Amino acid sequence: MSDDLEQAIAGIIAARAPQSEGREAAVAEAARLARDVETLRDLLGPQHPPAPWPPVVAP
Amino acid sequence: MIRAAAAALGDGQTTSRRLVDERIERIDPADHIFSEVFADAARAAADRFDAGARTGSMLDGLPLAHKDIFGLPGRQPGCGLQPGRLDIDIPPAPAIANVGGITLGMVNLAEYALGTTGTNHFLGTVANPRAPGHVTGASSSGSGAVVAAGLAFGSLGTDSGGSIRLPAGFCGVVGLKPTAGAIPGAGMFPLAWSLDEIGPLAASVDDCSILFAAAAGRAQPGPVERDVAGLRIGVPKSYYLDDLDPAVASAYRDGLARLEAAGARLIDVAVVEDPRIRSLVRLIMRSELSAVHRGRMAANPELYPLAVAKFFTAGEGLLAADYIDAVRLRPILIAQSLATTYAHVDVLATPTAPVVAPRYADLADAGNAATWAAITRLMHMTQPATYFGFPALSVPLATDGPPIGLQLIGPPHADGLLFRVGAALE
Repeated sequence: MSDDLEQAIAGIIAARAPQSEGREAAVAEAARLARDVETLRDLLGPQHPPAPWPPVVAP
Repeated sequence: MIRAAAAALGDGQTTSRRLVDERIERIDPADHIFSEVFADAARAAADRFDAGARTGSMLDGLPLAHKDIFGLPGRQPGCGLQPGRLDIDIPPAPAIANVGGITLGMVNLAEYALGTTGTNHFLGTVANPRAPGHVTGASSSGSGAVVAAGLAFGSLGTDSGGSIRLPAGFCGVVGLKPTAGAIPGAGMFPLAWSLDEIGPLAASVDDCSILFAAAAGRAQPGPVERDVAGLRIGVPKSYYLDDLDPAVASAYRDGLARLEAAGARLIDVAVVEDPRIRSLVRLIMRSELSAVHRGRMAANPELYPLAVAKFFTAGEGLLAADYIDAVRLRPILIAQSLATTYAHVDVLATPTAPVVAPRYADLADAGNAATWAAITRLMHMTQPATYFGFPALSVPLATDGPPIGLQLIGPPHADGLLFRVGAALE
């Protein structure tokens, strides 16, 4: 899943910034974001904790 | 300083025109602090004040300068580009109108308010008046610098992860990211709607308190109390004190000792913060800023240099479900933080950044992985309070080198308490 996500993000960035340096930046940034998504899903675990909807933004 | 200046204006020791002229004459374009100076309008406003025009604000007649991300009557914000280049329609910001004073000009920022150092590809890198060659911190880089240079009595900035607190810390001034929603967010160009907060930067805690109250539309406050006797100051057991620069660790310990000497109780306390919260901030920010910019970026790619574009486009690849979950976790983690930390202490004290302000030259190659890690590390201390929506104040610590800030974090609506603790350190 994260590989797919990483490739999808990298593809979007590279399409908007098609220079070679843009592609390098795309790969690095996509990898970072994919790790962030993995972190989120680890935090949630297999069963989502109960949480309000709509989400409370301001305490 | 604001109270003293207002008193000096009131008893005729100085004039608003003199305060404005002195500052305009000292502005050096090479410092890239201002994106636009309203010299004629500021002088005219000063002359009106000196002729007797008053609004009743304590800031009447005093020169201010704000981050160029706010709408003004008849003017759109530059948002880190040359003024007028961005075709947007932002209404005048109520916070700017509430503050009043004399708007000397608008100040530089990271492009679209996304940045942590003080560089700007369109307008130039902002010089740090207190530490030449070192970063100012960002994105409210001009706000930190304009106050540190003594060119304005205060500045409203915005903070979506550290953008007020880092410039305050690195430029040696005071900066508050208020409790979420304390200052109305209308009239600012968004970076990420659910993270953005408007807040003040000023030369002292009392000045910051005055600006905060004015921006929020509250009554003018009395002088900030300095009494911290009996207050419980939390020293985090984890996350915040890992791997500090020796100079930061030393200044932090000295700051805690001063609070303890003033009668505060230092309490080691557990925190829920860990690096995963920074991931949640990034997911929310990337998703929201992509929504803000994707249409304009497709139509006007010349407005988005690569250093900016790579972040703005990335959010388009994220799933809506992941964004929603990152937002839904917020109230859960807020509740955990209140129970774990703020049930036991009044205020949490941390450094504002884990390092002394780096040199711009050492961060020039942002494409290098190690350099990028050094840049993102600057926000290690500041991003969690953004996610929680808690108020956080940066105040200068005593140091012989470049400025170092102490961050004071409190539970919701503890903004006034943060001022009190911060004032005890001045």
